[in-house]
Amino acid sequence: MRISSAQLHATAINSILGQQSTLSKIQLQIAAGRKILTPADDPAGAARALNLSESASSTTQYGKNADIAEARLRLEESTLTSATDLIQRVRLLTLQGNNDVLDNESRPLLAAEIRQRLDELVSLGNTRDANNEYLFAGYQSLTEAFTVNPDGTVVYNGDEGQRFLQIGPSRQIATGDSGAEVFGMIGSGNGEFITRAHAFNTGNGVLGTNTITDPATYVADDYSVVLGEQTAVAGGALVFNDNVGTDDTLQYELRINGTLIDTLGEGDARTQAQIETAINAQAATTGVSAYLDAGQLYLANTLPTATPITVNETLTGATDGALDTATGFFGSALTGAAPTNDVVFNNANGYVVLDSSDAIVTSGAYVDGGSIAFNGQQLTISGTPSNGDQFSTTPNTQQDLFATLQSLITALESPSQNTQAVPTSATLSNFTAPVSAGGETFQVTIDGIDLINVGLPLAGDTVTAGQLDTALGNFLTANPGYTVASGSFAGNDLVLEKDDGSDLVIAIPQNTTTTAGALTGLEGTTTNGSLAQPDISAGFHTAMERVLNNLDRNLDNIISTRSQIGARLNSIDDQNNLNESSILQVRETLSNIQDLDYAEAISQLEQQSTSLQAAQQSFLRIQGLSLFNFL
Amino acid sequence: MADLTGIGTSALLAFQRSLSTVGHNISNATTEGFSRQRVSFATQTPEFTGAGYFGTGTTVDRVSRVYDQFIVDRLQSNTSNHSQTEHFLGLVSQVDNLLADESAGLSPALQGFFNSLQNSVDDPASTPARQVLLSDAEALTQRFHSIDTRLRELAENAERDLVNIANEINGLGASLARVNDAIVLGTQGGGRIQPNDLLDERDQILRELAELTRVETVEQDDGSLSVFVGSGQGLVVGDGVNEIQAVRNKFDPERYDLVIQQGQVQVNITDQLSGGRIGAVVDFRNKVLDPGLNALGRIATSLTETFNSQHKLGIDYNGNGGTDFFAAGGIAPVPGSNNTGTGSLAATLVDAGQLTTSNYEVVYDGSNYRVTRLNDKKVMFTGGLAALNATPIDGFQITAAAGAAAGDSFLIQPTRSAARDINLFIKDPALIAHAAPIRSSSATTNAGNAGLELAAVTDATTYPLAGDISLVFDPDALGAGVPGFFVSGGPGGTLAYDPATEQNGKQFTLGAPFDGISFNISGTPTSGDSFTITNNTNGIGDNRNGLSLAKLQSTVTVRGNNTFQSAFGELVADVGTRTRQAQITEEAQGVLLQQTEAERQSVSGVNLDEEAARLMQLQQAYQAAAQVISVSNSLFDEVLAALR
Repeated sequence: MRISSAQLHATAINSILGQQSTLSKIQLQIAAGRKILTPADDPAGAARALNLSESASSTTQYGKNADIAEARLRLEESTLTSATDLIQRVRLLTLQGNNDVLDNESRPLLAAEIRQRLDELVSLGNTRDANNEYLFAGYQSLTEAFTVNPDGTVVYNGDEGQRFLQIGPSRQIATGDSGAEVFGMIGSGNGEFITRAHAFNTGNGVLGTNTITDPATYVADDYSVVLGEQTAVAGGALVFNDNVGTDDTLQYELRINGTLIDTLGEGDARTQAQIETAINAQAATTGVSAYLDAGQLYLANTLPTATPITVNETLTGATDGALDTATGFFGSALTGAAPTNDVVFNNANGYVVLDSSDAIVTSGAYVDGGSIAFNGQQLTISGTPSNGDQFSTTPNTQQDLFATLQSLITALESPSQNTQAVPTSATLSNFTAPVSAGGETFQVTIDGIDLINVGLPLAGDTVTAGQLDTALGNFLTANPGYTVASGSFAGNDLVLEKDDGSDLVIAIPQNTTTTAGALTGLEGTTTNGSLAQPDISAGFHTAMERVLNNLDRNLDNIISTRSQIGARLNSIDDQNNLNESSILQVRETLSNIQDLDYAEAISQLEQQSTSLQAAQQSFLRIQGLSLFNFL
Repeated sequence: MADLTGIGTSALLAFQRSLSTVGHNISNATTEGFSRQRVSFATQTPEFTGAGYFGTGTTVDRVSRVYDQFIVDRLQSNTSNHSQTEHFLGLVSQVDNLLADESAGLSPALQGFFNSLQNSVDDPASTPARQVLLSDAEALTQRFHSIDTRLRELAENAERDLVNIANEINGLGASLARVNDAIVLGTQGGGRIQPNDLLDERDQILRELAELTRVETVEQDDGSLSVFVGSGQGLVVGDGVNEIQAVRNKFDPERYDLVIQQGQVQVNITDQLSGGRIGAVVDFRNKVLDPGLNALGRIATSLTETFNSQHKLGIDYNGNGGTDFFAAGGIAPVPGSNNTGTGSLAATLVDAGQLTTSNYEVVYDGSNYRVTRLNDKKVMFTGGLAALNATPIDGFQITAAAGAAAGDSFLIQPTRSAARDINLFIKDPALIAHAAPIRSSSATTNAGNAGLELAAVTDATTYPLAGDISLVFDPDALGAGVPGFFVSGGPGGTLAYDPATEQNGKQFTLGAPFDGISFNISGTPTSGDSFTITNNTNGIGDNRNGLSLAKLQSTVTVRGNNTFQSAFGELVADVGTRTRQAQITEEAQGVLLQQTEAERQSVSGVNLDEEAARLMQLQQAYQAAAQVISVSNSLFDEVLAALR
C-alpha cells in the first residue's frame, strides 16, 4: 500500500497519543488506588459500589444504634438490680417486723428505714438516662415518672410506651419498659379494690374512691352497684270502687314494657315483696329488674340499653265509665273512662348495692359525687349514670411496689400490740382457776416480773386463787413499791396499786401456753381494763403477710423484667456480630469492585511505558528516513 | 532539424510544468485536504511523411488530482460519525465526572441525612440531635441543588453550543457556495478541465461541515455541489445558501430549536440533524441531560412526598401534628408559546412511586386531548376533558380547564424542577415529628393477660382524637355467649374478640373516620378488662414515627423497584453506561476514520520520497531534453560549418 508522508507522521503520532492516554489512566488509577475512576469505567460496578457504600454506612449506623440501646438497657438493668437489692432488704425488715418479739417502740424504727427505702425506690423509678430522660416514663420521657402525693401515695405519670431502636435492617429492640409494669401497677387497682364500670354502661357515671372506713364491720366481697329509678310502690289490697249501679268484675292489670306482670281482682292484695317478685319473674322478657329495699322499689334495666321503662296499669271490666275507679300500685288513678295509664321510668335517681349472691346490701337515692357506704366500706360515684348502669368493686390484695412499702410503713407505725396504758391500780376479779390440758405453763407477770410461773404437766392440773395470793405475797416482799389496796385473788376483788403512781402492767404472756385457749383463765376476768394483754393484733399479721406476698410478687416481676433485659442484651450482641460480619463482607465486595490490583496495574504501567518508548523511538527512526537526504 | 528543437523545446516546457507540479505537491505535502496532482503528457500531433508519421514531441495533456470520490464520500460520513461520538463523549464525560466524585454525589448527602435521622430517632427528646438532623436535611437539599445547577449549566452550554454550531454551518455553507461559484467558472472543456485546488477546498469545507452535522451532496452538471442537511433540507443549492436559524423552543424559552427556511415555511430540523457535533448536542440534551435532571428530580419528588406523608402521621416535640418536612415546588405544565386558546392546564402529584423520568406532551385536537409520554412516544391517554381530569397518568393527575383551541399543546415535566425546588420546610427542630399521635394503655385493674398493641397509624386526619377510645371486654358484648369489646368514644359499637380461638392475636381496624387506627389484641382478657387509646400527650420520648421515617431509606419508593439510593445508583449507572458506550463507539469510529483517512492519504496523499524520485526523474528528463536541443543546435552548427 502506498503511504503518504503526512500519514506516516499521523500514524506515529496517533499511536504515541494513544499510548500516553492509556498510560495516564493507569497512572491515575494507581494514584487513586481505584479501578473505577468514573462510572464509565464500570457502570454497573459504580452503581453497585454506591449501594454497597450505603449498606456499609447503614450497618455502621445500626451498630451505633445498638450501642445506644445497650447503654440504655445496661442502665435499666443496674437500676433494677438496685431495686432487687432494695426489695430483698425490705423483705428482711418485714420478716423482722413481723416477729412478735418486737414491741410497739421498736417497730417504728424499722418503719423509718423503710421510709428511706421508699424514697430510694421512687428515685430509682425516676432514673434518668444520659440525656436526662426518665427511663421508666414510657413515651413521656421528660415527665417525672413517679411523683409522691401529699398523702404518701405514689402515682405513675408515664405510659406504657416502649422505645424501640433499629439495630439491624429488620430488627428493632425495646430499650426500656413501662414503669407501671416494672413496679407492679398493672393488675393492682388501688391496692385495696378493683373497681369497674360495667362494660355496657351508657351513662357517664364514674366510680371514684373506694376505701375501707371501718375494718371492724368490713365484709370482703364482690359488690355491684345498680343504678335505677327509685320509686314508691304501694302494697296491700287494691282499692277498687265498683259503682253499685252495675256490679262489674273489675280487674287490675300491671304491665312492664308491654309484658303482663300481674292481674288482681277486687279484694285481691299484694305485698311490696310480691310485686317485686312478680316483676323479676318476667325480667328476662321485660329487661327490667326490681329491687325492694327499705320500702322503696328500684327499677333498673338489665339489658345493655338505656331505654325508658314503661309501667302500664290498666283497669278492665268497668262498664260505668268514670264511676268505676281503681288506684294502681304505681299511683295511677284509673277509671272506666280512662282505664289505662303509663308511668315511665327513665332516671337513675337511686342505687342498690348487691353482694356477690345478689342480695341487697343497701340502697338509697343517687347523689352526684355522693358517697355510698355499706359493710364498712365507702365508695363514690359521680357524673350522670343511665338507668341500668352498673359498677362493681372487688377486693384486691395485689399492690404495687410503692403501695406495698407504704402499707408496710403504715402497719409498722400503727400500734400492733394491744398494750394499753394502765392505771396505777388494777382491780382483778372473777378469777376462775384455769385447768391445764397437760404439758403447759401458767405465767402471770406484773410489770414484766413473774408473779407466778409454774408448769402444769398433767391434764387437769390447775392453779388456784390461793396459790396466786401466796405468790402475790412473795412478790410484794421481793418487789417493794406495790401495795394491795384491798381484796384478794380468792375474793375475786383484788385491787393492786403502785406507790410511785406510774403505770402498772399485769400480763399473761402467750408463750406460756402450748395448747391454745386452755389457760386463758385470767383473761376474761379483768375489770376496768386494768389487765393489759401484750398480744399482737390479728390485723397486723394479716397486713404483714399481704406485704410479704406483694413483695414477692413484685420481686418476681422485676426479676422477669431483668431476664427480658438480659435477653435483649443477648439479642444486641448477636445483631452486633451479624452487623460486623455484614460490614466486613460488604467492604470486601466493595473492595473487589472498585479497588485496584496494584501488581497488575504496575505491570501494566511498565508494559505501557515500554511500548510508548518503542513508539517514540521508531518514530524518530522513521523520521530520519528521507530520500531528500541523499539529493 | 528545426523539428528536433521543437521536440526538445516541447519536452523542456512539459518537464518544467511537471517539475512545478512536483514542487506544488511537495509544498502542499501538509496542506489539509490537498490531493496530490499529476501532470499527464500526450504526444504532439505527428507529422505525416511518405514514410509514415513522425512524432513532433510532447505536450502537457492536463493536470489532474489523484483522488477517489468513493473514499472521499466515505471519509465525509465517517467524519460525521466520529465527530458526533467524539463530541458526545466530551459532553457526557462532564456528567460522568460530576457523578464520579463520590463526595459530590447525592449518595453521601442522602446517607448523612438518614444517619442523622437515626441518631435523632435513637434519642427523640434530644434537641441537638434534632438540630443536626435539620442541618443534614439542609445539606441534602443543597446537594440536590448543586447537582441540579451543575446539570443545568451543562444544559445552558449545550444550548449555546447549538447556536454556535448553527452559525458555523451557515458560515461554511456560505464559503461552499462561493467555492461552488468559482468551480463553475473554472471548469472548462465540458468538465474535462477542473480547478483541482478549488475542488480540494470544497471537499475540505464539506468535511468541516460533516464534522458539524451529517450532509448529503449531489453534484450538478455545471460542477457545483448541492448540500442537504437533516432529512433532505437544502443548505446550499448552487451559489445560494439557506441559513439554519436557532429559534426559542415553544415550551421552554431557554431552549433552542434549529429551523431551516424551506419555501414559505420554517421547518424544525433539530431532531433530524443527526451526526456531527449537532447530533452529539441533541443526543446529549435528549438522552443524558433531560433524563438526568428528571431522574434527579424524581428522587427529590419521591423523597419529599414519602417523607412528608410519613412525617404528617406523627406529632412533634410540642405535641402538634407533623407538618411537611420538605417543601416542594409542584408540577407546572408549560403552555406552548403559540397556543391560541384560553384553556389552562394544571397537574398535581398523586403517587410519587409511579413517576417516570419522562416529560409528557398534551395536545388538544379540538375535541380530544392526547397525552404522549415523550421518551417512548407512548400515547398514555386520548379522550375528552372530563375523562382527562379523572385519569391519573404515571403518578400525576392533570386538571385541565376548558377553552383550549385545536392544536394547543402543553408540556408537563413532572419531575424536572423538583431537585431545584426541594427545600427544608421545617426550620425549628421541635417541629420534627418523631412521635406517633396516639398511644394505648391497659387499665391497672386488668386481671386478664390480654394486651393491645397499636399498629402504625396510616391516616393523619383522625388526630388529635376528640376523646379517648376505650375498649371494655365483656363475654356477652355481642349477644349472649358472643364475647368482644364494647367501644366507647371513637366509632363506638362493639368488636368481636373470642379469647378461646383468637388469643394468638387478632387485627382490628376501627371504622371511619377512625380507620387510620389499627391494633392487635392478643391474650385472654377477663370480663371488664379495658384498654384505652389516647392522644400521645407529652410523648416526647416516643420515636415510633421516627422509626417509620428512618425505614423509608430502605423502602422501595421510586418506580422500578428502587430506593432513593438505588434510584441515584441507576442514574449513575445510566450515565456511566452511556459514557462507556460513547468511549467504545468513539474508539471504533476513530479507527474507522483513521483507516479511511489512511486510504485517502494512500490515494491522494503526497509521499515526499515519491516526489523526490519524481523530481530526479523529471530533472533527468529535463536534462535529456536540453541535450536534445543542444544536439539539434550542434547539428545545425555542423550544417553551418559545412556550408562555410
